[in-house]
Amino acid sequence: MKLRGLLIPGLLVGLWAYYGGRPEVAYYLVSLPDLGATARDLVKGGELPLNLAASLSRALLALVTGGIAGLIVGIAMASSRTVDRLLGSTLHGLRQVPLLGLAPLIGLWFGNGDAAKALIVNMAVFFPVVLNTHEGVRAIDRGLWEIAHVYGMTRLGRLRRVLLPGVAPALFTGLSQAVAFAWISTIGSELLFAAGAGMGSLMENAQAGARMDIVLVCVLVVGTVGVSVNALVRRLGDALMRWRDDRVTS
Amino acid sequence: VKLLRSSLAWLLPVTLLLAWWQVTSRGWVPAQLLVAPRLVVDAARELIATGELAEHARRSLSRLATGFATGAGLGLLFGVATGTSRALDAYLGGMFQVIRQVPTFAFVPVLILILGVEETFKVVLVAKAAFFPVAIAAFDAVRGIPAAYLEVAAATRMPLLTRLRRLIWPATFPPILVGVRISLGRSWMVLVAAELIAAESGIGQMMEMGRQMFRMDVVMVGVFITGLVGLALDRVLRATELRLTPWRTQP
Repeated sequence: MKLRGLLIPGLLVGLWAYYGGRPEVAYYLVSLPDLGATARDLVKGGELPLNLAASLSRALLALVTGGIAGLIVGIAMASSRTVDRLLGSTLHGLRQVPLLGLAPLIGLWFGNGDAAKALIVNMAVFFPVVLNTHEGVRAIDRGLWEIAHVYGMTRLGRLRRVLLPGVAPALFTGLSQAVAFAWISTIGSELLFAAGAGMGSLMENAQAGARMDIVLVCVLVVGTVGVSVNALVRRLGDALMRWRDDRVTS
Repeated sequence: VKLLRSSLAWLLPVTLLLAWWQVTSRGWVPAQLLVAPRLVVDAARELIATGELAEHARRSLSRLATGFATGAGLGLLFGVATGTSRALDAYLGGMFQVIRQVPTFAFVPVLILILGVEETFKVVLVAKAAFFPVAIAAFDAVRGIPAAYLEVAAATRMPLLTRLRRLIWPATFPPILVGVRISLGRSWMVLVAAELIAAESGIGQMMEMGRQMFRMDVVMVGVFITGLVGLALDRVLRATELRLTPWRTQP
């Protein structure tokens, strides 16, 4: 099963190893040893660690701030009809504007640097968290609240026994979407606002200098981060929500 | 009370609009940072009158149509194929999952180096963005057909055409359409971003030129248009969903 999945990627890598670096294709298909040498240089020269750290910390910081903001707004909207009506339609309207389409406007307001990128990544995190929190709180069976009331549970008890387990799955869906979006929008915003450090900026500069080898190393790194972060989140979900056996496996 | 409640939804947008109008008309913020609403309307009018807006929109939408049709079509084929054949899934599934998780924008520099900044680059990028949501939805839809249905069909020797029409279609169509809707939304976002990065026409390019020439009004018009187009595409697909799957009750 696993072996069959490796067959075609293996074949492709084999073809690459065979044809890579030949003069007819050297421009696109850098030979594998050259690619390895570039990667080594980038690591040794400190460029790759520096830019990767910049991108990762950007994504992580936005996950925390955008996530907390989303959580607060989501819970507020779910628990108060007034807040829901006040913010709901505006948020849904805003959500329709493609996030990176706001880039020129944000660029005019906040310049080309870290503030503009932070704003975009924060928004990318904010929306999935708000929507999923909102839906999660709303989906809690009203009967449970009544039971908690009848049993005379304290506020804290209700929070811990009813709210938390009730919203956990939806919250988790929101988190996993937010993590994926954070990484995507980090790379996207760094490509659009090339000032400062980051994997997107590194790629953009390499592209301007026609350095396909650097670009390819970056794609591999960015892809690896994406895959491993998603795997990490899934693991976390499995560990935190063991009581759910009806989880959709996909 | 009901009127009051529904008016709450408008409170925030209206307040923002009023604040925008007040702040600009009193000159509290410099015009480079925020232009008056009237100027944005004027800019929109001018762009419409000169036909510029229509031309940019036409170029963007035609790119979207080509890229989306290619990507979604291939995604549908791929999803149905891997959903139907376990062997095919074993060969291709892993690679599919890995590529899916590489951010689309990471491919931008690669594609620019290989294809240049012409049309092909944008269409390929949109196709890549459109491919995955449809492929996943199609795969899940095909795998999600209840086995019992197929057994009944086999037991009653239902003709293939009837089986397709009465069983496969209703079971797979709604989830696939949801995937198509997600895919279209993403395609639009990716296209606008690609036009911001490199294009000689299109809504994204119009905004990028506006930014470079500090024409805040043009940028704002562009932002509204991208939002409107995104909203319209979403609404059209939702309406299609309802019309084509009347047996479903929409929440």
